[in-house]
Formats: sequence, structure tokens, C-alpha cells
Amino acid sequence: MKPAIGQYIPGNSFLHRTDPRIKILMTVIYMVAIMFIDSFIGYAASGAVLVAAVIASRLSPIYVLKSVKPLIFLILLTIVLNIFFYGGETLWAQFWIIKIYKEAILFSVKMALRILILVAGASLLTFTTSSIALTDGLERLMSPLEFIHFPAHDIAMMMSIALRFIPIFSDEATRIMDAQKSRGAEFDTGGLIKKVKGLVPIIIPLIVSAFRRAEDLASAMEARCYRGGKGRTRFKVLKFTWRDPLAFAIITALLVCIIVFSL
Amino acid sequence: MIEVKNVTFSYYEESETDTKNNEPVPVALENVSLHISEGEFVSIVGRNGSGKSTLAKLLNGLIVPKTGVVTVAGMDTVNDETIFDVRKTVGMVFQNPDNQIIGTTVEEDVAFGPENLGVPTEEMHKIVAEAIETVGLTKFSKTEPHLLSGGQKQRAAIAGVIAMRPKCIVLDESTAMLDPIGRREVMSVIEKLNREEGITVILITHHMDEVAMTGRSILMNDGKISFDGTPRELFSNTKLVHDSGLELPQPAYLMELLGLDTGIISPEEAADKIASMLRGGNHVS
Ligand SMILES: Nc1ncnc2c1ncn2[C@@H]1O[C@H](COP(=O)(O)OP(=O)(O)OP(=O)(O)O)[C@@H](O)[C@H]1O
Ligand SMILES: [Mg+2]
Repeated sequence: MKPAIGQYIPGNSFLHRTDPRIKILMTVIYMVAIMFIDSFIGYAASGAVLVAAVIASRLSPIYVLKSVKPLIFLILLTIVLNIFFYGGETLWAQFWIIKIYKEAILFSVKMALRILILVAGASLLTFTTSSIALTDGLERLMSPLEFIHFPAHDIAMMMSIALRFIPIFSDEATRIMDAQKSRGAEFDTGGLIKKVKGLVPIIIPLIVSAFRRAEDLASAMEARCYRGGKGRTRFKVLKFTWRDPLAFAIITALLVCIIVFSL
Repeated sequence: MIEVKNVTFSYYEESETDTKNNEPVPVALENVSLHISEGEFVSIVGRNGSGKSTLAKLLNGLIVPKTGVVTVAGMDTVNDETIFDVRKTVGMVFQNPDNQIIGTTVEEDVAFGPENLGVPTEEMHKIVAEAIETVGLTKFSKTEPHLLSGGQKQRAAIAGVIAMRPKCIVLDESTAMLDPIGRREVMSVIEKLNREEGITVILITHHMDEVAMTGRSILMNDGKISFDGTPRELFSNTKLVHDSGLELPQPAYLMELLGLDTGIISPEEAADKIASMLRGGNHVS
């Protein structure tokens, strides 16, 4: 089976064993920091933090590179658009009516770096955290918000059910496609419009079956006494270990330094 | 333990169809009464749409009767205060294994019921491990459900039910989507639960060889119970079996073709009867 985007890669590294709550928090702080950083030194430094994290995850860097691969088109597009439309003062080159400014180039390169680092950082989180741990961590992090009636438990339950049904639906889509192909449907020929049209006979049965599954699942959950988050105990209990404050402190300190120096 | 008294159920409201074209509201169950005692192993058969699933859902309060009462261990299923005790007492395993597994791993899924019941974490770990062992999936505790075979998925679903310590398990065509090996796995697990733990089992099925394994068989026809007795009695009434759109299990079918008594429940029994006839010199034409 080919790994889905950001799929969990089991392991036993420092990063794998860090509490999911800490990892989620670190990722959020990291992302916010990237938004603030506006210098190449800053990007280099946060890139170095990322490299250190990859090393701490003992994952092959290839995984991380693969995770940003689908974004190359988006990044190129951003660069091109920015170069044309950003404007600036220092003119570097001019072809016919297209003027290329130094500021535009710098801006678009920074933008590209930002996207790259963001996505690589986020995928490192999903590579080292199983979906269960991820939803569990999110639920715990959001649970203080339940005081203002924020449905933390329900959101976490929705996410974990969604994650569980992804492989089921992808199998089903393959099955439906095979069924349509055996009736003469073609999916990989023709132009874009034809391809999109070809998807309709796959998506409709998929949606119909999704509703049937939802109904079944609702009965199954009810039959097993599900009544929302109230009075529910947990099978998995998250416990902080010495790793967690350590990881958190290091990353936060690093990021604060980077931001201060690069402002 | 389970008492169904004069129950009628319809999926439609009286007002929905009446006004349009004066046709009577279609009822899924009509005046059904039934008593199931603790420790019984009951099979329910009947053609598609005869009301088997409707009856099953009434037994743990997923739906409640329009008229009549369903009580489980003395608790009325319409009573909201005891509905979770009812569902804890009568566990339910459904047909499609993919649509009833909620957890992301086998043990997480088995823990779903105990979590909802508020069982303390430490005790829960014990209960979950025991339930998984009972169905023979210990090796797969941490496996993701979509990587299991059909039979394993259904056994995981059964573990999820027994982790709630039910007195009764209802299986609604739970072997229908399985291959023969998967069916055998599931049947041997539920037989063991019935025999060793004394759990009442209600098995809805289209497989007559599974019916032969139970102690009592109920036949549904158009929302009514048209037979309630031992599988042996059911099989000897070939007319009723055929009229209800069912087929005899293979050994009984062989006996029917031979023009002999079809009230047998195992191939060995059929073999013995045929052998003794041959030995006795009674030639079969
Ligand atoms: N959700 C529903 N809404 C409306 N009618 C329903 C619904 N579920 C079942 N019915 C109807 O109720 C009747 C009994 O259905 P039920 O599902 O109990 O049959 P069954 O014996 O379980 O059949 P099968 O062998 O196909 O599972 C049928 O006529 C069916 O069309
Ligand atoms: Mg049914």
C-alpha cells in the first residue's frame, strides 16, 4: 500500500515517544514562528531546527522530502505570480512589459521557503504521531475549552472516525472504479473535463455508501452505549515523561532566539 | 430474561401514508410475542424483509415498539433511565464488519464500550485483554482493523461486545459477509461463549447449517413468528421451510431427496440413519 500524505511511520525515537500534546504545541509554535520570521538567517536557523528534529525522529530525510513534493507546483506558481505582480523599486531585469524587481524575487523566495518549512514541519508531526495519539492529544489540548461549550470530545471523535474510514473508502473507490472500468468506463484518457466527468460515476456511489455506513456506524455506537464525552473514561491515558518538558523547552528557546535575531 | 409482548412496529408514522392513498401503514412487525430465557442459544430465520433485524433492534432499545412492550431483565426498553443498562445487558453484533468498528486499533475498539460505561482505566485494560483473548485475537491487539480478515473483524466486534459483560448477544447476520473459514471462526467463538460463559445468544442467519447448531429456532414470516421450536422440528416440516423461502441444510436435504425423515441436524446423523437402513436390508429406491 502506498503511504498516504503525512502517514504515521512507526518508530521508537525520541520524537516518537514525546507526548502528542507537546508535539502538537511545538508544531503550532513553530508554525507561528515561521510566520514572524522575515530574514534568510531566520529561515536558515529554523531549517536547522527542522533538520535537528528529523535527526531526532530517526526517519529517513527522504520521507520529509517526499512530503513536500506535491507542493512544488504550488510553490513555483507562488514564485511566478509574486515575481510578476509584487512590484518593487530596484529593477533587475526587463523583458518587454515584464519588469522583474529585486524585492519581488526576495519576497517570493522567502514565501517559498516559508511554505516548504511549514509543510515539512507539519508532516514531521504526522510522521511521528499515530492518528490515535494525534486525536487524543488534540482532544486533551482543547478540553479546557469545554467550559465555553466547545465540543472538544466530538471534534476528536469525528477526526478519529474520519481517519479510520479513509482506508475503507479508498478501497471502495478502487472497487467502484474497477466495476465501472469493466463496464467500459475510461478514467485515464481524455482531457481534464472528460476526466472530471469520469469521476461522477465513482463519487455518487461512494457518497451513497458513505451515508449507509454512517447509519450503520451510528447504530453500532449507540448499541455500545455511546452518549458523547460525558462520564467517559479513557483506555489510553497520556502521561508526561521527562522527555516532554525537555523537548518543549529546547524548541521554544530556539525559536525565541531565532525570532529575536531575525526581526 | 427477554420478554417481548404483543409488539407491533412500523418504520412509518400513522399519518404519513394514511392521508395519501388510504393504504394501511406497512408494519415491519405485527403482534409479536416471545420469551427468551437465560443461557439459550436461539436462531432466527426468515426471508429478506421478514422483520428479523427489526426484532433484533427492538431487543436492545435501538428502536422501541409502537404498541406492546419489550423488557430486558425486567427493564422496559422505552425507559430512558435504564436504556444504557439494557444495551449493556444485550450486546449487538451487526452484519458489515467495517461499519461497526469504531476504534483505530483492535484494543481501542474493544475498549469503546467500557469507555462509554465509565469503567476505570486500569480495570478496563484487564477487561479488554480478556475479551480479546476470548475471541483469540491477542496477537492482533494493536493491529489496525482494516488489516484484519473478515472473520477476524467480526471476532473483534464480538470482543467489543463481550467487553461490556453482556448477558445476551444478538448477532444480526454477522456471518453473512464471511467466507466459510471466517464463518467457522465466528461460530466457534459464539458457541464457546454460550457453552462456557452461559451467555444467551440470538443468532440471525440465512445459513441453515448454523441454525442446526442452535437449541431453538424461530421462523419469521411477514413480520410474524410462524414457527418456534427446535431446529429438528423445523427441518422435519419441509413444507413450512420451503414456503418460507428457506432451504434445508444439506444433510436434511439429502434425506428429503431420499424420502426419509428430514428432522436431523448433522451429517453424521444422516449417515447413521442411511447406514442402519441399508444394513437392515430396507432398500431405498
Ligand atoms: N429503516 C427503514 N425504513 C423503512 N422501512 C424499513 C427500514 N428498515 C426495514 N424496513 C422495512 O421493514 C421490514 C422488515 O425489515 P427487516 O430489516 O427487519 O427485515 P430482515 O428480516 O432483517 O431482512 P434481511 O434478511 O434482508 O436483513 C421490511 O419490509 C423493510 O422494508
Ligand atoms: Mg436484516
